[in-house]
Amino acid sequence: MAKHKQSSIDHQRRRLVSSLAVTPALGLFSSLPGLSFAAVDGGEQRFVLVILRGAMDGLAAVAPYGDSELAGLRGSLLTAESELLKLDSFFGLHPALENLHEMYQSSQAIICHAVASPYRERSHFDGQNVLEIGLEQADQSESGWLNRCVPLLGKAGENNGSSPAMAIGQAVPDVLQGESEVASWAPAIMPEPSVSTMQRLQQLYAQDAFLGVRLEQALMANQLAGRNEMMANRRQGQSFGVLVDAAAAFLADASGPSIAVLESNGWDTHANQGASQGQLVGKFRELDRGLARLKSGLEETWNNTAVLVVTEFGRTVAVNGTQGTDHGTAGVALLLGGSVKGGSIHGQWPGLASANLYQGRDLAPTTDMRSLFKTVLRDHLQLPQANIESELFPDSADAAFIANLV
Amino acid sequence: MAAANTSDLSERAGYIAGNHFGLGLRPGELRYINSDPRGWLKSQLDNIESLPESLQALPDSSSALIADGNWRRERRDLMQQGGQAAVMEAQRDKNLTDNKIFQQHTSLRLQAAVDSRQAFAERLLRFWSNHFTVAVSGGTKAVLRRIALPYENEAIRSKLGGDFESLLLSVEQHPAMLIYLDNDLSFGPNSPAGRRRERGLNENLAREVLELHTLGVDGGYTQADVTSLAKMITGWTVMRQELGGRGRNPGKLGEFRFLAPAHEPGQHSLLGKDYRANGVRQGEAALVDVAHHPATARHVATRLVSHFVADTPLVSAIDKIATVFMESEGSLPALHAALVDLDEIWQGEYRKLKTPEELIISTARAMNLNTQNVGSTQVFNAMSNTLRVFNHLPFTATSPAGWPDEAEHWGSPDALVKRIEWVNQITQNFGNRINPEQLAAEILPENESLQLALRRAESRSQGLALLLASPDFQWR
Repeated sequence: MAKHKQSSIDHQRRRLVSSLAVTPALGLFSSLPGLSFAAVDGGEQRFVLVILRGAMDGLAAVAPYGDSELAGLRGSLLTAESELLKLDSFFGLHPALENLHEMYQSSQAIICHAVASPYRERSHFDGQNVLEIGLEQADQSESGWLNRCVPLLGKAGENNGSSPAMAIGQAVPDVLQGESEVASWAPAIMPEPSVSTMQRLQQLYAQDAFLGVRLEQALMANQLAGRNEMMANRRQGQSFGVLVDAAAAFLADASGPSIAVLESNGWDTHANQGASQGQLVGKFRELDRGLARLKSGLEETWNNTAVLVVTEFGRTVAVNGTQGTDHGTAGVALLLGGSVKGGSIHGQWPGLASANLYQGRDLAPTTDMRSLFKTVLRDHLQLPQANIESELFPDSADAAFIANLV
Repeated sequence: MAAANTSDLSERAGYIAGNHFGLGLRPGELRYINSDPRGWLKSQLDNIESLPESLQALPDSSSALIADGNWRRERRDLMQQGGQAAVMEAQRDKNLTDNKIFQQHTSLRLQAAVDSRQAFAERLLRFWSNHFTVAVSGGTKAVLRRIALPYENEAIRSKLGGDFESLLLSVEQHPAMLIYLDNDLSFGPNSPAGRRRERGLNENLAREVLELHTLGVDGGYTQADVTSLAKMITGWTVMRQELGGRGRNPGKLGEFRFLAPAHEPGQHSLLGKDYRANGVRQGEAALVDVAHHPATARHVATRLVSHFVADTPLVSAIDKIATVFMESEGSLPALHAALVDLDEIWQGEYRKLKTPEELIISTARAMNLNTQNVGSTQVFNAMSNTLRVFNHLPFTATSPAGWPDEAEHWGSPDALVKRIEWVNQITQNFGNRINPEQLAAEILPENESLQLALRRAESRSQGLALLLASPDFQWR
């Protein structure tokens, strides 16, 4: 009868999904499929911001294999030098990032290492908030810097009310929150909770005699649990892929938005992070394939596009007690697209020797994340520097513009 | 953030008042509950009858019944003029309208609970409404879609400041209950109307009055008592349309009506006591006695304790409540205050799994989802659709016994996953401005492992999903 039970659960899930999918309120921020955009005058430039939530491990993504301290600190999480996709004689990409490597080789990707927002604590929420509001501390503003830049794009008023900026995903992220209207699109299907969310809930439920057992039974029946991790990874991959495809379709439209924001969750690898195999590899692969899909989906529009991939902070240099890494400080940002002057690594390498680490544990920041934001806005989207300094990133004089990025 | 000692009962009292007695804490609410949790609960008993703002524009049940009567007359005319096809088309439109109105009502009811500043009063209303369940259906009962919610306010809410006897009478004489349990179709077999139309008794309402509403299934009554009570309430019906021509229609359209010609003549006995023939007063006298019966006190006490304390009936608490019931002659404010004074609850050892409705209401309260914040009443429509998926839409219980509230019923494995999925969805949609760690302190007693999980969450919306899907939030 197990089979029967399974189908009954699936049936109920479908009902739940469809009942939520058709209700307007839960798609409140979703735009209608027929949403149209007025032409953006002279605005062929496209900008995509990808936020990796949970703090991507920059040292695993872009390994400084030339730093003699690395192997000792990273231990079991170290990807063998022979497997790395070499960028130069010092840095190598994780082998799962093969499309990124190809873009780097064809001068369409820039790697920024040892980069961090002004935030120096270690809370995900506050870290993401600082990244997204563009200020020095969390919750200093109700608006995100991309929302504040909407009026500067100067087209909103002539745009039949549709905004030149768009959130692709279930919710409008902080970076797009604020006074200016932004468009949004979300897949119509209710997403299943991520594997990461379910695993965390399992831990909480394990302490509850009544609920714990029942959740386990349900997860076994649903194959949502880690038992079928490959399926789970594929599903997550698909969901990011769905967002990427949507973003490509909207941006490739001549009358589409010029800015899109995408999010990817599940980067918080405290335990069993893995090296050449494991949890983080799945995330890298998902991201890498997503970026390749974005490129192919955009077709010629890719030539006018800059994609900035950022995360709230880096992770500890050393392995923790559970074969993972904890919240750190500086990490990696990626800038790619047809309009970037790629094939280079930006940033000053602070070194991994103990004395060079931030608070003795984290990669020290040498580039302010806002320098990347500001430069892309000025040199790619052609926004006036004065406005960028005064309205978008006040108090960011120390975060200088960077030459020759785009 | 002040560190709360979990073993300190007084630290937890505010949470118990808000979550266990209420419908879930809203951010900020704890501050004014904390000074006097029991006082906060009892003060709500003073204006328990006041209608929430979102329900004030609701039409009353009599106007809905009149409109329904008019519709039935139009349909008859249409049948003569346009024939079967025209009637079917009109009926389809009518059904759509009825369903739409019913959805509006369930949304408004949800909104009232989410917005409520006196959630203990709203919980009590829901308890009694479930005790005196009506459920919607089709055919001649289709009008229940329009009058179920008005019934709850007219027959129940408006009586919660009085005693059980008046509550019972107002419920059993409300058109919704008379229609739902078929008493509007019941005729005394020896009554003039019964003989003329060859119609007889329908025991449905009488049985549920004794089994569910008052004495309880083990309350010591027999089948003869059921039949007898059914006879005594024959003629209790609803004035649904003008009977035409005779000029002797007592009562107003759309309201309770005692139809004397349908009333079973003679004296009848219930639980060994004889009730003389006395028109509508005969059945009323029987209900008054039943309302004050010790078995009723016990049955009501058992249901209250099982709702407010624990799934497994706690005899000490039931004894206390049943005693208050008898000593106060069924005073509802006294009963409700006695619940607040049950030490068993404040010791924090007992818990109840939230029903889907309670989970949805408490989630919306915790996230402060209201029409202002979300910018639309649509969110309540969506939530009431979700209730349908969870098989817990108000006024759709599958039996007159109403919804169970035991963990075993609502806590099946796949139901748990559905709950988690729903929480995950709503927090992704509306939760990215909420700080989960701050909210946790506002709505739940301190729990180190939960706090750790929130601190380690990889995003605000994940943290919020963990908080609201956590076992701590699934129980009240």
